[in-house]
Amino acid sequence: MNTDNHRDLELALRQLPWKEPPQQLDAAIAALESMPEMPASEIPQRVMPPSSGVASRRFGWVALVSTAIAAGLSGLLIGHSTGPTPVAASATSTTQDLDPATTQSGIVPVKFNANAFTLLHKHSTRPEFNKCEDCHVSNRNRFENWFYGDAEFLEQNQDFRNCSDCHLAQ
Amino acid sequence: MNELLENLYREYRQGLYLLALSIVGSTQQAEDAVQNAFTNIFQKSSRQLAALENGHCVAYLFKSVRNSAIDLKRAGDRQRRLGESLFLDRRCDHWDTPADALLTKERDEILMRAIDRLNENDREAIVLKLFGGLSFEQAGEVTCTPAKTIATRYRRALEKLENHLKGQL
Repeated sequence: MNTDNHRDLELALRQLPWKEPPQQLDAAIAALESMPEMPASEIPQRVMPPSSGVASRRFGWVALVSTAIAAGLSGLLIGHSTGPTPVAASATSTTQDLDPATTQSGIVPVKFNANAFTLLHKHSTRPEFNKCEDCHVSNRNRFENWFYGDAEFLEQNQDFRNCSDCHLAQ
Repeated sequence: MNELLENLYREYRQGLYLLALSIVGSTQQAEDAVQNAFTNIFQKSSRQLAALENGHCVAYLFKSVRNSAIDLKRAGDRQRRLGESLFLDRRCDHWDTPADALLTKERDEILMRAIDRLNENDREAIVLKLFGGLSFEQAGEVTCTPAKTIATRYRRALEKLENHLKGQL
């Protein structure tokens, strides 16, 4: 790779006529000042962005693969099954990621993992995931302990209980 | 709006906007994505944002805009990227007519076309690095991707553009 060429290229790229945010957006952001801020007592403790450490990545891959497999299986079963979701079978393949506690519905919870979370949502490009509410409302009791971490996690991060807090468009 | 958020917006507004635009492919939706993210942070997590170290703070902001853009894209059209260019109208003349203006203009037009045709991941790496001014570690944090992967995407994108340029000029 010719570094000098890339330096020139980077300079050329910076000088291209990239679009700028419109003035309406600047005004809208500035207008936030007039909006009421949520009182500190009502603000949930948000989780920090995931770390990029090697150990957490290794942990992440295991959870990612197992959770994705489970997501694929359960996604296919949405609308066809009235019984408990078959999470436990796939989740148990990664014993190091499991929380010893089991929920009342018999689902073995998987610890929250940001990479898995992102991957799962990419599945929404598949037809069976087209309607978020198929999982996140009607089947919510079945899914929340699995998709969004264990009960303890939800207890500590109350803001993950409401989809609309993060998913503004829904 | 609190001062930190306002300063961050001033400093990174173009990078944030281009990131959203590169995901949703529509200037209107890109605006909405940035606004939604800031509204959400302002209302719910500006104090938490202030508690973060500077580097994480910037990454958090980009990540919020990215997530917001992804949500909007999903809600609008799951299959089709709207495909608006990241650049101003190509007929507008930003070149200062020096002696080599023609060559520069031709090069820039080729580059703009090539960037618009890059795949989403590569384009995102370019926007985060060049306009967000993010390190590969920060960009990795934003996209939930290892820093090395982002670095590879960035270099690959530059090489694609370089080769494209060589082939065209």
